[in-house]
Amino acid sequence: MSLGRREFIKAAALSAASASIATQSSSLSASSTVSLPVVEEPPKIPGVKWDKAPCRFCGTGCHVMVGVENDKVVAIAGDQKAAVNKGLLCVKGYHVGSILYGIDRLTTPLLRNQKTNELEPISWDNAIDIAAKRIMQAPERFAFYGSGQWTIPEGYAAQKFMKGGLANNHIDPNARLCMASAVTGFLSTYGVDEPASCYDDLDHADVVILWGNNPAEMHPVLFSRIVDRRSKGETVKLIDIGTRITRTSEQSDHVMLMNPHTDLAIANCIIQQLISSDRYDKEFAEKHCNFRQDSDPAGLFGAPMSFDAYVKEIKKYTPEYVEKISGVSASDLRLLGELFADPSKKIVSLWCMGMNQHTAGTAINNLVHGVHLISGHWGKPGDGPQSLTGQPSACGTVREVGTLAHALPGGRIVKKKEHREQCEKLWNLPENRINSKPGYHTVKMFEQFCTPAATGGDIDCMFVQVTNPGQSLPNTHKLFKAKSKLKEKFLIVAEVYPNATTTLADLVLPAAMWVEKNGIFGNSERRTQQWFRQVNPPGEARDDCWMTIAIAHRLMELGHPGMKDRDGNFIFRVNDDDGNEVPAWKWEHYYDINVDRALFSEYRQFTFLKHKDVAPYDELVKSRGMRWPVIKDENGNWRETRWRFVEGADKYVEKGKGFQFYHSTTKDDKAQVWWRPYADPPEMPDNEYPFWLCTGRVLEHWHTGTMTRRVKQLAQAMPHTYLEMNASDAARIGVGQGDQVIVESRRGSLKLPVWIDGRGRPPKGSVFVPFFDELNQINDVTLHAYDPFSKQPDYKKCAVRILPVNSRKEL
Amino acid sequence: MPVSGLNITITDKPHITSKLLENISRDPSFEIGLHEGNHLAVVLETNDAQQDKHKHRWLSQLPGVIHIDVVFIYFDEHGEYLSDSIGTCENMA
Ligand code: SF4
Repeated sequence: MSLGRREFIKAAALSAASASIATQSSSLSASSTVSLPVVEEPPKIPGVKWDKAPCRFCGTGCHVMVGVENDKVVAIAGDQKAAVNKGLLCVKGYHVGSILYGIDRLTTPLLRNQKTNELEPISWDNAIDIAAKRIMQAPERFAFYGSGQWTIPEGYAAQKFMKGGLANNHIDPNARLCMASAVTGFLSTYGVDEPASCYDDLDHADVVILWGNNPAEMHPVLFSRIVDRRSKGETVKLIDIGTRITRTSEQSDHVMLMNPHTDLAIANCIIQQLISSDRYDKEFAEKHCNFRQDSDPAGLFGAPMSFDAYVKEIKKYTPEYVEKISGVSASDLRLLGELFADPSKKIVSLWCMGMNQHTAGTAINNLVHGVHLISGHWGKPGDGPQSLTGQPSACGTVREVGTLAHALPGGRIVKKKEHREQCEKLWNLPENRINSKPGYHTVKMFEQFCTPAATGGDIDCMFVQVTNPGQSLPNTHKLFKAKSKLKEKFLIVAEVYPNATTTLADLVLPAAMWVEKNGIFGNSERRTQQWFRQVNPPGEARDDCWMTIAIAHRLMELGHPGMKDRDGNFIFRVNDDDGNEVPAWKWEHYYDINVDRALFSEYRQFTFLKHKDVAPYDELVKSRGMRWPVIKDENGNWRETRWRFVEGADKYVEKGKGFQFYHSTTKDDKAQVWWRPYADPPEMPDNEYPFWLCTGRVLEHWHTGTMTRRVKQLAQAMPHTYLEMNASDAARIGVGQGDQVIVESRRGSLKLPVWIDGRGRPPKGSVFVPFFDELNQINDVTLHAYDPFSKQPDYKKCAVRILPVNSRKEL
Repeated sequence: MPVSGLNITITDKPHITSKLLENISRDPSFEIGLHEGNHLAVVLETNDAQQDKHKHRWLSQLPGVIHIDVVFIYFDEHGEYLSDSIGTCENMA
């Protein structure tokens, strides 16, 4: 590289760093004396063209500026215009460009040769034909497994294809594994899904409580937002309630290590203290809350309960009683009670997988909402509950588009006739096209796929897009690997790299990723984020959305009646400006028109019912995302909403109401405070399997590592997984740093090196293993027990034993 | 030759800050830019990913450094990397 060019790049780097400081400084509180101009333009490097995109990884939804030269991403800068990250990125975010360029990208369709068991290249035409014919054999025995990394148009197309086209509800996303309990928690508390609050709360909170959450590694830019306030001298108290010491704990003021699963008891204890000391927010509770308990038979919306009955039930959850259950000291539990009793403090609760991957996930979500509701710490800037998502569009594509087995777009469900009719009307389908029976949720779907047809396994063919269930499902021997023996089952996988899922695929479709295609994500704070394709995908890789449309069209050619609407048109018909049909099912024409824009505009009509009005596509093009409901004001400007259900912030709240839960399940504008007692989890350590196993993520890798393990810097920084163990446990079983052990459960085993006092530090009696490592898959060991309402499995606790092996591995 | 732009959150103790600035400026891989309040803009230029990692580690361990955010990166190395993969090793054509 020439000296001149290098100097340009260095100058660009310096200007980006300086600009990010200016952006941060200009967003300081009123007390700040610093006032610098915000530099919003991307760095200038000759030949490099810049455009915006959300980061491909976590649900934080940071925006990056992508620098492209000669059809290749060459630079990444934090986006100064983005309110989410104000120009900052975490280690994954700034390496996001490299995920496109691992040398083993899948670039051609591959079909497994049944004789040699090898995957062999085939043409796209052949691949689409094979997929369509497999589906046509038995459309009702086909399942579509998708993702919270699907873009909104990809998810919407899959949803319409399945529920509107095939009349088959066996579509579910991997988000079932990461945030389904948050969904059921919101639904049963407020009557409608998704957070009412937003990230701005982190700029105002006095106290941030982390419920089994490690944002220092999982949502680093959000954590940075808190750390930054502290570094400026602001007081933000961090309280970490979890089952191991993490990087987040190291920055926390109070670390409360609890016994696994006992968050339920802790939340009840906070409420018990507020009620017994008569320091709950009576006005808020009376005006805005009802009390609720389980019904018989159990249902998501439960049965009413009187306040007196609630008080009677919760009475026993005193700090002393809960100390015995949870292991958290009574004085720490009192500290929590005192905080929530203090109306002058602004408190944010943050959570993600720790509370969601829980066999009582719905219950603990209800309880944390309940703590905030009954204490009145709700709906004010810096004061309220905020759940986070792990994937970039778990909210946008899964929760809003409704790509779950029971759901329809815009908060509708297949069971409700009225909802089905609305969808049939908007999709211009014949009456009664949509099936009223919910499809299989993820665990059930894979169970059926991995069970022989002769013994009741009624899913024969599955299409997996944008996810890696071969590694991310729990208990993978049962739920995925069992497929290897079932020759009658056919697995279609759209992927960007070979991974654990493609190893069992019968047909592999090479996919375009991130800025190789147009896209729209929806992040954890209701922010819908759009980007354009900026580089071409490698080889013959193509968009996932195109694959769905092409298969649908081939099914129509094969005579499947569901692929036509009531006027006989293709269900994915897109027209040009003159009203002529564009053959978007042909790849060479797919980008003749902006298919994303067409699908999103159609989808947008579904979003008004539950007041989740997304902005028009063209408004999203201009912005760094907009938080719904997005409503046009009297001057014709589109305005986003920061706090839902709050008068003044949410246009749908009636004047004079203050707070209005306008989708209340009790139809009285009130939220529900649930009675949810503590009960033991389904598997606990015993003499045979004496340790708790918890699994999770690490800073450097994103989920199963398919992308981040191809980025040299990230793979080298964290090359393989490990088993975190407490020093005293290690001494007791006679293993030292780096020694190999076998971690074994009733379901499987795995050999791993021990890390003592490493990245995280579990207490005595528990171990932790990250799940990113394709070569050492801890999900061979985990349990697939799930929450009764959300059907989300619990990856955070099962019982294992640890057996020493006489070898050592470099950590 | 990775080039990154860093926004470093630093201590507000003046005696530690001046020592920190001295330490960073002694290393030719770094170039110091805007210093405003608790933030310092720095460019890091290294020969390869390995050196980049070492320099980051060194920087993060300097007294006075609270937190490092990377806000810009220019790559010239991607496209050559293949981590071990069961898919690649066992089953791909
Ligand atoms: S915090 Fe999440 S969205 Fe932001 S840069 Fe990191 S991985 Fe990307």
